[in-house]
Amino acid sequence: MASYIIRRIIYAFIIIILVSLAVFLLVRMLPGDPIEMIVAQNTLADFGPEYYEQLEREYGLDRPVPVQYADWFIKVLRGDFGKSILHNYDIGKDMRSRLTVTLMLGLTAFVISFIAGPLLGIISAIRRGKMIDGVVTVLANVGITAPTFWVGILLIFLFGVKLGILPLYGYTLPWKDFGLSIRQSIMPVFVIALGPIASSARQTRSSVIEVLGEDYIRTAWAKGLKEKAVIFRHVLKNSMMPVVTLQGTMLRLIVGGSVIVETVFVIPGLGKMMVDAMLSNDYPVIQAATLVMTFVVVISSLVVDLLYGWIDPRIQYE
Amino acid sequence: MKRITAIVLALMVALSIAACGGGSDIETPSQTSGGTPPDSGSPTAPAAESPSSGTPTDTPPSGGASYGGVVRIVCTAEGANPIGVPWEVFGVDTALLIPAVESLLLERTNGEIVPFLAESYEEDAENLEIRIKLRQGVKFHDGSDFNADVAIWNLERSIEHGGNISTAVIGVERRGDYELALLLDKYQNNIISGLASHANGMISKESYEENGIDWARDNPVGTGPFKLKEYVHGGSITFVKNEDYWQDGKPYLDGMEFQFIRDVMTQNVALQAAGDQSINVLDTTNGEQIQMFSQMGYRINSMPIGPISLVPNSLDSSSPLSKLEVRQAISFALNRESIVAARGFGVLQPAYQFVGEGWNAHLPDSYNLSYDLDKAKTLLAEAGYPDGFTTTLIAQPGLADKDAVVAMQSQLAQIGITAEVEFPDSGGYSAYRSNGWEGLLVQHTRSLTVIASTFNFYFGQTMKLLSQLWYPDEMEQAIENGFAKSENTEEVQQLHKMVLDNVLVIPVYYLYDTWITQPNVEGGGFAGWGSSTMFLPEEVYLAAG
Repeated sequence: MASYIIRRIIYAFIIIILVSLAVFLLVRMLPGDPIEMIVAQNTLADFGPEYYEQLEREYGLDRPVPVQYADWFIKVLRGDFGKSILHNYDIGKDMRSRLTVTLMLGLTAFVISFIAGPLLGIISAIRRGKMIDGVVTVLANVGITAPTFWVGILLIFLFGVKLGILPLYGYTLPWKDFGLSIRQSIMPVFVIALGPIASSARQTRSSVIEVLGEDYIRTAWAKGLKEKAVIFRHVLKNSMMPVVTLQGTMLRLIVGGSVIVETVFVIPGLGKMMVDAMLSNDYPVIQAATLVMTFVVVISSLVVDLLYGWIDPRIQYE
Repeated sequence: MKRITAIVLALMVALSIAACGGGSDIETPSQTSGGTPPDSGSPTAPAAESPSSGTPTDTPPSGGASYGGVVRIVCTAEGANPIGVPWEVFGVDTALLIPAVESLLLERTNGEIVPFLAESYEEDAENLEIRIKLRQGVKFHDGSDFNADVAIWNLERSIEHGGNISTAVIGVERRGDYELALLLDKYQNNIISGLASHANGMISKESYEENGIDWARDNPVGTGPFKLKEYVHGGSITFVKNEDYWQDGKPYLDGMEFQFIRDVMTQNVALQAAGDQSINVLDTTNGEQIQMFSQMGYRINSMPIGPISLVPNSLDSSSPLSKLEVRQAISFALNRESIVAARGFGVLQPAYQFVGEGWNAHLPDSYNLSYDLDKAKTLLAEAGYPDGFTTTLIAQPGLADKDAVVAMQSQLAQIGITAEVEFPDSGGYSAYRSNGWEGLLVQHTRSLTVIASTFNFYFGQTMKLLSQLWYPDEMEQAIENGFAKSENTEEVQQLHKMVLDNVLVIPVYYLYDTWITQPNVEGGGFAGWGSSTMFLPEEVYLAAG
């Protein structure tokens, strides 16, 4: 087990290096650079070519790309993410607060989807063909297909503008104002969780239906066990494997989904930071945000893999 | 099952339609100045005349009923810049300094300069200096005194850092406790205008030196009517009233907030919403938004900011666009009236000149390459392209209306020019501008209050913005001439003639920077102040009722 974890951590490190390298190269292959953005935005100032070159030197963009990457990566290992080229803020400091926001929303959505999705799937499966099954199936289909930004706008319009019962935008951390934080979180968390709940519900439903048809379940019924015992003791544990696998994927989707949700609800999280940086070609910010997101995803995958063994002892790591 | 599906789908469709609709049942205000295109008629030659010593003021609130409240603003700022060190702030984010940091001078939309933290100023072109007398009794938020030493320290940082102040300013000299002089190596008529920019605003030297630059970057300690309460990068900035503000009885509001909402749909619903998250003021150039809110009774405060123009890659001699006749043909092929009728939303106006009517560089209407398809075809044939050619229209993100670009594409097709349309993102567009493009950029060519600066920005040799744009060699000298005098109508008209005679760029429609305000938002002079000053936060108040 220990050697497996060490091996996986080494793999994770390699993946992080490869992703960071790919992002580092890709952003430089995109047309435009942050210095051009500075010059283009400053319509009132006398920015000549000398100033452009001075800025390039200042931010090290005049050096060969491999040198730039090595320098950046070594600094990152020391915890120094550098400064935003366009806005001159300390990326590490800014990212800490933004990551907190993204994780607060993302993890809340994850917990909700982790509970609600399988629960709805189980209810739907054991009441197969009934009204509740129909409702869950339809809502799950809608949840999977509806675009996140569209659902967000609908919710803002309905609960923010028409009914006026929820804040339209922004985010406050719970330890600053708990009540406001909860109210501000409802819509974005729902939007983030919607897709994962729908996917989990569908996956759980299929999985439970499959297990319900197994011989040992028939035997359990034949032994006269109560429904609760059959479902909780025999069906659930045996049908959870694909659901857990899916939850690992969902965590990635939740982190990725923050990009859209934070933009629509104007939440100062990591996703919005990334979008803003991409629109302005702010290399160090894009690199840092991507690195952190990759880290979160890689670690979540590792945790999911380790959970397999706990759920199904037949799985051997060695 | 089918019934459930139908009900769910019907509900979603109904909600979508409602969300996308105009929201006609939303409470509409009783008073509006909106709906009509902005009056662009006022900007004249930016004045360099003797200043008055008065403080600009809008109508104050009557009685005590209008004091209090918080105004929330959405502007084009990105909200990621440090906002506490003015000389490091550039571009749209200078707007974020307005509530806390004040400048020596203010600039009206018509170019008139009004002393503010400076009590008066005097330009002395002969002795190459600008003498400034500072207002006394002004304190920074930290209680320190605003005086000549602090002002000089601020101006010297600006000169050292570069970018925000004219390169013609080579130093600052103390002439008294509240007097100083800017030393110049040559006279330029844009120096004074630069002093009205918040990027040359005044911050407390004491706080800066005590806390260091990293602290100062996120903590503006100015003399302004509001103090910073909280700055969430990319999220919001909250300011609270400065109880010790130097103008008695002001500010009227308890606070002011900037919210950074990029998404147009979210902007729209936030402006329509009531309650403690309602947006009171929205700064936009989006014609569709302006028209919608105008129809809903919101106040529309617009100021002209120059045309959307087609910028050819005329420097490339192998390009058809390097030929004057081709550029003329394109201008004649564009039916600007129809573009504006379709996509102007009653706000945008057709542009036949590079500089609009309000500025002193504007020329008589004889300079008018208006719609004439036959003429366009003839010119194209004369240029050696009787069957047209293939090119690309590259639209500036955020400012060029996509449907208007498509309309231009179809109008060019009428004379045989097949244009592909590209909508790059900001980075891609900047790269085209700097590294070169093939075809025509659809670019906002901003008219600055000091119009000579506009010519310098787009056609100056020291500038790097439009790398593929050709302009005559004599342009540089003409730009110098445009800067050299305070009364420069003849010089800037000469510059404008060069642009139009050579069809350096092809103006299509005029854009307007518009502040949409809820009807109870009074004062502040939104759109009455130039792009440097923008509005006066201490004058803004919420009308009772």
